[in-house]
Amino acid sequence: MTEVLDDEVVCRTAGDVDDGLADAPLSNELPSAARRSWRFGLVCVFIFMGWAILVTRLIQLQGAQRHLMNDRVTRQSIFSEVIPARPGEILDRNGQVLAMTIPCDSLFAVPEEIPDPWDFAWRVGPILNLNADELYHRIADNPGKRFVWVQRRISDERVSAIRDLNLPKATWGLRREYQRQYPQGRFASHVLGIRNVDNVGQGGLEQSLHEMIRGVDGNRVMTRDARGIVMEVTAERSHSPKHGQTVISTIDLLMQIETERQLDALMEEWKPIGACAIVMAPSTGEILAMASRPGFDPNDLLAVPEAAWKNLAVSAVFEPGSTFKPFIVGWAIQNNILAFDEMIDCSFGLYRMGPRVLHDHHSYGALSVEDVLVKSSNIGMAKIGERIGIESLYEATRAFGFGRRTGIELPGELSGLLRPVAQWNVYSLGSIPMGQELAVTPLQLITAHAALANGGRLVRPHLLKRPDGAEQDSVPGSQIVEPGADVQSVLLDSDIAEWLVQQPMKQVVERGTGKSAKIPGLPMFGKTGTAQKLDLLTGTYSDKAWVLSFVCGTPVESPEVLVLVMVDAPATPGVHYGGTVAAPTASRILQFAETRVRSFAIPRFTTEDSATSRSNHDTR
Amino acid sequence: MYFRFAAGLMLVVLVSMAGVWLEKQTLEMRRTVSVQYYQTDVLLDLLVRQRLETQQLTAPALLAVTQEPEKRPSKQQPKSERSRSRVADRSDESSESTGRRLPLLRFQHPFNPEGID
Repeated sequence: MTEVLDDEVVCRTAGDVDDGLADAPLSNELPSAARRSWRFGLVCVFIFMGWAILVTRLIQLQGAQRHLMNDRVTRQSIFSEVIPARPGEILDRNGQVLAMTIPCDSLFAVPEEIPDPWDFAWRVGPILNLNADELYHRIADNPGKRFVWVQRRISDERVSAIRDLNLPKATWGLRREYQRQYPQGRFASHVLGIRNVDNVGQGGLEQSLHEMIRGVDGNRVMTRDARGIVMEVTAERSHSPKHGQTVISTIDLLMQIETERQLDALMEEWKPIGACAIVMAPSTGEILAMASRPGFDPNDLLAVPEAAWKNLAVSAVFEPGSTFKPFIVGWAIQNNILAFDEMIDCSFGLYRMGPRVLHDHHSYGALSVEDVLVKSSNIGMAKIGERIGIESLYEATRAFGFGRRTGIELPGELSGLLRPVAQWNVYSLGSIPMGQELAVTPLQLITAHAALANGGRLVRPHLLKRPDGAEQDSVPGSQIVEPGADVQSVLLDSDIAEWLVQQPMKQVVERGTGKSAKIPGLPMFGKTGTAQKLDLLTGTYSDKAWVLSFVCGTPVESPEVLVLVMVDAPATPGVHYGGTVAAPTASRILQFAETRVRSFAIPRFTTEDSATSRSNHDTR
Repeated sequence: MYFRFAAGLMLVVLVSMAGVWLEKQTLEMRRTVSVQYYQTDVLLDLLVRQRLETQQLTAPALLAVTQEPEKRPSKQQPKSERSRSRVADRSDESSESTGRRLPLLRFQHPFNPEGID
């Protein structure tokens, strides 16, 4: 450049000479060239400085701030979205769906992008049956937010209507969620429970098996360009959701429906505070049906009374009354305190036990052990209790599972009320054998009776059916929840348990307090229970409020099914006994269950089983 | 020398073009896999919805009501009719969709036949 400039200067000087301008002073040209040279140098310096700044900035960005910039780029171009896992289904033992999940859309708004909240609310509100004013405030009160729920789990028709509004895309969006459906309606609602709007199980199997039913959410990592358009899904960084497992329950839907229908009829006839019924297979502990009243429809949770949430089968405690007596008799015979053919003096309906005077409903003299149970003599049982003694009586009560939870797969199960043996006194010797001074849940009671029907073996009641390989996945990709092990213990010799079932408990229905349960052609055994409720005002037993129960089973020789009905304080005037209120309902349920249970592959109890279990128990 | 230079340049261009073609193929395959996953999801949703319809239609309680109309006429009848009419509407829809062939890569959304989204 400098050379060219010098040439220019030289040429111009020569030209000037040629053009006759030699007389022009040369000193005027020299400062101009110097100025140009100075300007050129300045430009070069600026250019150099510009480049230097750029290079420095480049080094700063690429070197010093590399991680920061990388993070920023990653944040802007790569994003992920959660793929919700589909909650598993709950099936009955025959594959009928009790609970399942369908996909649906939830609508959200982006208040930051909504220029006219009132227009948005006015157009969207009527479609979703929302108060436009309320929706307006929800949007207008959060002007800087980018996410506000408008309505969750909306129907396909409403989604289409929202799309048809052609609202600006930046102002709203749909998020995919799952909605729980209960195709059988209100049936088995207490066993199933519900899933709330956040897909969290509440009550029943939904709560107790929540982790397995819920599954594990996945995520999808995507790359987008500067305009926000997704370019590709990064498969190596994405995870597929692990959908929830399928639960196969032991519930038989038909039996459940019949049980609930019978319970509804009982509620209508006797108008009690509440009632519950349980149907169980005694040999396995499988719960075939479980119902509680008042009930609710899990598909319609807007008008559920407070009391309806409670599953009385596991969370109601009551004094069992006479239904408790067979356990004490069995325990006494097992421990050689009592003989099968012994006669008990029932003192003609009046017996003083320390400071307390006991009465029977009828005046009895000497009764056989069988008749003590058949006629439900309180005095006879008190005398047996005196023979057993406090310590052994407590041991018997604990052995049959009272005072502790059964371990069924349901939340909210109570352990009942069994006071420590140190607090027992002479009253307890009379009260406990007749089913007072302790409180049990209906499930505990039927579980203990199942031990009698099962040759003396106590099994854990459960609601999860062990898959036998015949089941197929309900929804592709889902797995089946495996139940836990059944806890078994042997309480009585099988001959004692069989005698209790085939003699006294059979006679209860034939000629005792449970006669009203008798159904021609259906051999059955049972035991009634009528217990006074505690009057909280006076602290004494009430003469007006009763808890009535009846437990029965069939067939007598090798029981396959047991039914328990518990009724809490019937209000309709009438004769309030377990045999009059609960027994007819229980026997009708049993009649249905007896025909229904033939289609199941429930293993029957045999004497050999009991002998084997007994020997195993002894060796342990 | 010019020939060698041109040949080298062409080789570079060819390799680049082959790379671009492979990249495109990879992208296309990825897109296909994504679409197939999406189709699976949609079909699974359809399966679940139809399963729900089936279960509602064959619910023993509903069948019991239809078989015993004289016993329970008043309260449950409207509900069953309602669900039946709803199901009837859906069944038209589903028969239409199931009658359609759905080859994997010529997929039509069951609820939105015009496009995938």
